[in-house]
Amino acid sequence: MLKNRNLAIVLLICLVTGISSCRKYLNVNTTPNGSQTVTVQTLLPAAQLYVGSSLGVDLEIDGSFWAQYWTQNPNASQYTNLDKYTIGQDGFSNPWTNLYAAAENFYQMGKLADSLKLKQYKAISVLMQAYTFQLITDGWGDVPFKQALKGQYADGHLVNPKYDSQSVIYSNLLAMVDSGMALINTSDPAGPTTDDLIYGGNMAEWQKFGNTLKLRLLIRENKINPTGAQAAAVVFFATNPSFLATPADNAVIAYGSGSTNKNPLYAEETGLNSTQNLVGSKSCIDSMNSNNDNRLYAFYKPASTGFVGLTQGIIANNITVGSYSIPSSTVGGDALNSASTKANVNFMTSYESYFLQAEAAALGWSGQNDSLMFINGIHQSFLAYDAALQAQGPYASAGTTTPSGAVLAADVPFTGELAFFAYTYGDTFFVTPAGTPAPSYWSIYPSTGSLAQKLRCIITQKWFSMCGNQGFEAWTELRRTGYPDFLPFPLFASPKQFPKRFLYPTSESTVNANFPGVASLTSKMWWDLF
Amino acid sequence: MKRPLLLLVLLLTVGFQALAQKHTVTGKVLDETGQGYPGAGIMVKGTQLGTVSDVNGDFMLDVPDGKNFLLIQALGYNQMTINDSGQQTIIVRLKRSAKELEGAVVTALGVKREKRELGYNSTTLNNDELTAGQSSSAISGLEGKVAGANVTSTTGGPGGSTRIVLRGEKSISGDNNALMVVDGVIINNYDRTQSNQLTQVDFGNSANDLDPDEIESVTVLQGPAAAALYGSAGANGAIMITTKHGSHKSGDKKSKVDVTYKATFTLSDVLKLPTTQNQFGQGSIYTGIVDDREDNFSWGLPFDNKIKPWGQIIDGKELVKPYSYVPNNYNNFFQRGRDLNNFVSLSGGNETTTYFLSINTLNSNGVVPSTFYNKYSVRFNASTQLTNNIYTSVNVNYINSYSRAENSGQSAGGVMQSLLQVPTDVPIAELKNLGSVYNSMDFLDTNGIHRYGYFNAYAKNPFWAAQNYDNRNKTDRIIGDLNIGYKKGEFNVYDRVGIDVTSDRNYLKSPKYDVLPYDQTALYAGNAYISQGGYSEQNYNGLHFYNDFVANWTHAFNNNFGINALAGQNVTMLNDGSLNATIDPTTNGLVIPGFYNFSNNQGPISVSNPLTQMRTIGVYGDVKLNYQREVFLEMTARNDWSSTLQQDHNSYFYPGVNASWVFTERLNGTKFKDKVLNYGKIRMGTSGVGKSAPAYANNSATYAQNSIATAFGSVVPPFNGVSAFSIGNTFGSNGIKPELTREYEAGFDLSFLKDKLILSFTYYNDLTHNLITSVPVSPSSGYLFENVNIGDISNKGEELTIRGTPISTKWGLKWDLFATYTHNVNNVESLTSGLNQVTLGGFSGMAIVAAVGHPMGTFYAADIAYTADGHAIVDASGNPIPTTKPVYRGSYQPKFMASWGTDLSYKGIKLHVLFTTKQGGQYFSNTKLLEDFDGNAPETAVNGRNPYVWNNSVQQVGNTNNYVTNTTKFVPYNYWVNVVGQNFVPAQGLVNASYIKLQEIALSYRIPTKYYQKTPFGGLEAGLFGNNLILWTPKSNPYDDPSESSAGATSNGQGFNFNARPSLRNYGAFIKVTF
Repeated sequence: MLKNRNLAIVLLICLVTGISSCRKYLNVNTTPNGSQTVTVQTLLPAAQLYVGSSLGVDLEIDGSFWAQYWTQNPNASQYTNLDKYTIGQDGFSNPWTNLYAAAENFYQMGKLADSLKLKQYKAISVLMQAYTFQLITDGWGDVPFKQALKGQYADGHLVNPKYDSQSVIYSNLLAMVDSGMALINTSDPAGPTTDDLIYGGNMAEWQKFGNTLKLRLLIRENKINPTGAQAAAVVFFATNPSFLATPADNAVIAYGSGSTNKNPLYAEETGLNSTQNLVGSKSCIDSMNSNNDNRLYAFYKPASTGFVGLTQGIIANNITVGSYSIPSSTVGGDALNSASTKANVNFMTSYESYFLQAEAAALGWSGQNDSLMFINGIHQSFLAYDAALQAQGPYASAGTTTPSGAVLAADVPFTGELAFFAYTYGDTFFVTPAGTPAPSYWSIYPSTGSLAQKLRCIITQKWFSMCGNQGFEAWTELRRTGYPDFLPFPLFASPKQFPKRFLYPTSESTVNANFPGVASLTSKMWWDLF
Repeated sequence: MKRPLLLLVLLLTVGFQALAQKHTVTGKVLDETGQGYPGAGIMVKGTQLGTVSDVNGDFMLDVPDGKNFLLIQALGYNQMTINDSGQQTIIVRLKRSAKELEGAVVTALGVKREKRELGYNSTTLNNDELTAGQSSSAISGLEGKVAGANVTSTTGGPGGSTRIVLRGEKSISGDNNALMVVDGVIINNYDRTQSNQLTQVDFGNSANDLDPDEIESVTVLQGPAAAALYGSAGANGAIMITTKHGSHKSGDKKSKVDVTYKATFTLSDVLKLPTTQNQFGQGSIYTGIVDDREDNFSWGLPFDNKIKPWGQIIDGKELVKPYSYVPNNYNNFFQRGRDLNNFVSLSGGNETTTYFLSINTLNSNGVVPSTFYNKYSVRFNASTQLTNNIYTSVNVNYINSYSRAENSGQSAGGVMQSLLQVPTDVPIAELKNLGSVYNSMDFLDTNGIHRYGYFNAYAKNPFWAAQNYDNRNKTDRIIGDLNIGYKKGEFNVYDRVGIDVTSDRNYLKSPKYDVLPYDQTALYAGNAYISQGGYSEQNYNGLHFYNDFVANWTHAFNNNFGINALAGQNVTMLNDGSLNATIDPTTNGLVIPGFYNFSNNQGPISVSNPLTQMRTIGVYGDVKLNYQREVFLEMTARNDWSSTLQQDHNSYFYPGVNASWVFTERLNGTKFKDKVLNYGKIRMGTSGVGKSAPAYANNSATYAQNSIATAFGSVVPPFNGVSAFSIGNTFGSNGIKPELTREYEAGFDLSFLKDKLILSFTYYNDLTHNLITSVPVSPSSGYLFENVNIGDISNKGEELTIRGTPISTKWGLKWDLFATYTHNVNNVESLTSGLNQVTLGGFSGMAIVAAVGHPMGTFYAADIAYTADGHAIVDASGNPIPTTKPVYRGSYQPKFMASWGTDLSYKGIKLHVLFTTKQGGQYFSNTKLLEDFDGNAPETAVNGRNPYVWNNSVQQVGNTNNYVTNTTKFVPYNYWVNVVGQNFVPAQGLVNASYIKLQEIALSYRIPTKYYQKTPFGGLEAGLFGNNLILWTPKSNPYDDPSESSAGATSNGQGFNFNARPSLRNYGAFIKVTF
């Protein structure tokens, strides 16, 4: 029996050592396919790119169709339903997903910045979350906000986030901007550098961004909450805030550094086999033609017979597309021109900033000169597309006198500055597109007119300036104010009602247990009293 | 000292006394027709000594003196006991009887058992049955032969995907394919199908690497009861494959080598192509373009048979042809597939050693131009019995394959996608000459501009796509196992190591081009074909390792009670890794056209190296008891520890029990037994199988440089040199529990009239609990998926096999009839966390879901709206309106499957016919939607394309709930092009998946040996065959073979035909000789 016992001991030893080596043997379940840790320096650009892709593709296309800058090429069909207002829920899945993914990454970056006490990253995280959530709520209205972004167990495992009303979200966004701004310290050495794709870590620019965003939020809720907005605005303007003022201040991502870093709209078009789905809309092009607006050269590519727009929403495939203008490579819309790859995506711009300030001044919030702010807005828009005008626009011929009094010795490319003067002051020295004279309210500001007249002028000009480059914001302002007020219904629109919102994607209606119910394309935003 | 200890000690000591006195018995095993029967097992009763008959049926065995009874076992035949009575030579004639009910089967771990012992259902096929139709795939060869198995051969030809699901789908996100086990070792059945369903290349799945000719037998264990001892992997049932082995010989036959040679030549063509309407040709008269000679639309004028120009005008010239319907147009694209399959085997052995070597070559050209599939495999196995009771065997299979497959799906190079867009009057055969400028997709005009002269502005020349989109797969694979064991008396202890090592490479080329139409007339000016071109290499390496240590004890207590007890331990290690590099044609591109190399990149190459590692440890036990070999009881239990579960909760246990009673033993000697019911068995059992989580499912979200995608484009970091990491969109929880399937089954096996009628029936009821899957979560949570235990799925069903032998004469004529019936009801019982459904896959507006109360794999999409009483609702213009929400529209799972066959034999002549059917179920046919849109489908030509009133339709009265009978006629063009064609009613793409198929027909002749007795030939057989030969589908399906699939073999998003690889009909001849 001794042998027997020895054997038992041996077996027992085997068993014991076996168990611990078993644990080791089975301990192989940490994925090698993703990193467990991350840095704020790598999260920041990724999160910004998520916003860039949403803003540059889905929001730009939806906005530019519904603000009638662009229409569907009838020889293809990608955006037919968008153009006919018959688009379904699934048409809005990508921007919803990408914007929340952006916010999630900003949120994780904020948590990490907190733990590492990196205040400037935290500031950007908060400002960009506010910016992103404004895009989301301006698109869809009531959306998950307070309970959003907390899906993982570490964050509370809220996989069915509750919806918050748009008014609550707006008041929270204002608070977020304030808290973000409070963290900004332009001399903090631990701020971002090249990892900040928008401002390269320049916190003074973020300050201007934050102020302009705050003004945008206040202006948006001005009608629904006039006293509250005004009270906040007066306090705000008393701090003498700095806003985005020049094209150098524009919050943009500059794409095109490589074939995998194409402008996302151009990447989308390439992904659709370079089919030119997007064509210039008659609604915008006719107006710009009749207004001698040389920004046509920046926003569109001329057809063989000049700038010709296609009737919005015309769905008949016996149209020769070559005879219509298409969106330019400057806005990333020319599917067959690789220059589209370098188009910027605009988050916020100096012209938007001035048009916001003009409206604030007209409302008596700031004591600024509304007329001057308005002209600055137009001016900034031309300056922002200076390069495009010089590269693609007409020439000023030798011998003509420029607005500053100089006589041109040789043909020179039309600069943004010159085009601005031609547009605003009616200079006819220069070759301009032919057309009938524009209605005077378009560019002549009614300094002594009513608030409604002023608003019409400001927003109509804002609409021109955002052509194909801030399409979503233009459509949003169209919803808020009703301007421009000369847009027709697309030819085959059904029903004949302008869309007022995005539809909640099916991923919400089928997955989120707290989904409040579908809302139709024509139901309004909280701030939309038009 | 007790016996087990003695055994252990003996294991460690060397040298054991050789056996005592013995005598040698030689013999021959013959089948009913008098031909030598290879592969029969011959055992000395009461010992573990035995051998196997060789290719000619001969065997030789040393029998200890005093042991005179030999047991003869052959698959599908009665076990026989022969008293050798000291004879030196015996001849055994097998009796094929109670075919389904008796005889040996291979059960879990490769243990051979008698079928009567089993308390669960199983089906065994020998090589003859498996290869009756000469299918090139072993899995396809099972089609229609196994009740309970749902076999889908998506292409029916070499190298295509084949899926086999036993007793219904049990897992939402995991693989539902049955486990493949070769000689007791699990083999890796991975999917070679590339990319997503919209743009796929079907290279098939790796289970098809096995050559059917080298398989001796296949046993299908339908339920988890049968496969429980394989642990997690056996949850879906198992296909137990036994390969051919050499047989023991002694004496003067020692040096004789058995040689078998078989050559099979097969021709293939496409089984089913869409039927087209034959009244209208190219054009788009409803948009005002009567004579658009670059359109993909057959919405033109009625045929007038006049000679008219077609295609582009090139240098002022154009082609002419009659404006009339081209019959069998699509068929003219395809070529006849040819397949030559050679098989050579050498086997032999002596008293202690056996060996087997086989070489198989398969060379085939596909039906799509430029495609091919070549496979070379070598199998070697050997076993030796050492004098000290130690035995070893080794089994090695090397496989090399090289294939080229066309693009399918909706990709730029999709062959079917392009083909289906050829109008009904455009002769496809004339598009073949790519040298002609009128067919060319790229030629230089006089100004040096790249042009295409092809007629179609929307789809490419399919001949060009087949030639230029070049997708190849190369595989090198070794599957092997090594056994070492000790067997003495009642004890048998062995260790088996199995490995499956694979290196699998894909090389995918897509051409670079930038071409304009030649004809710059108004309509298509600037309608360029552009692609930057791309190249992708995907290198997959898999190492799957298994080790089983098993101890087995058999004992008969007295004449009444017997026991067989087994205990084992298993270690499994699965390592899978890939290295993939891609120059993507949309985000990146080639610089120089036609140069497919990673140095030829425009931008950063996307590289990924996904790795997975899974490990398990299992211990198991199995105790079988029998009483007088009449009543059998088996108890199994297993405990697994899995690496993919949280360390402290990674253990799960699942027991099972089953019993059978051969009740006819009670009737021995009665007339009833002799005349009516000669065999009867009832069986029942319950068992469980645990299935662990997929690797890393319980991990939190991790960070990576994820590409930021929009619908069709993407931005890929690093961005301008800046690295950008974002959080992943999927997370899991540590709390994930293993899936557990609990099955109850009961059944009976009966044999009447001296085995003239055999019946086998099984009812089963499965519940799979705690299904693990990735569930979509609200994107507003910041994530898209969470890995969770989601709910329960049940499968209930019946399996029925009937075999009858109406005629069996002594002079050799025999007529067998055979039928199977399988009925399975799958139901998603519950889903957790308030979910009603989980999306399994889908695209184009059609989702495939697992929804509570519906079968898994239910279609969910918008359809035509109907009133509560079944009237279609139409709008003011008479067109049916779509539903506002998706609706459930049936499942891809068939309601029932059945097969019926017949075998007629007379002496050496055999005729085999097998029909199979699946009834009920739907599939999503993009063919239908595309043909509807481009006006090729017959249904678009109803009523001469004049407006008519939609059948049984109503119109809504204002905004009320009232409806009135509709009298407004709809314009067919508007419905098919603008409603169906714009995908407002994706459910209209669903087609009844029912079919009846002439699965196999074969005529063979085994030439009697007497004609060549003096030649070296031992056997000579030749025959003609066809498989997948004729397909009958309902009238509502003039489109495709419902078996075609875009989902590959392992995906659960089945039931989609998105311009998938076409399936084939195969026919040919074979010859088989033995020496």
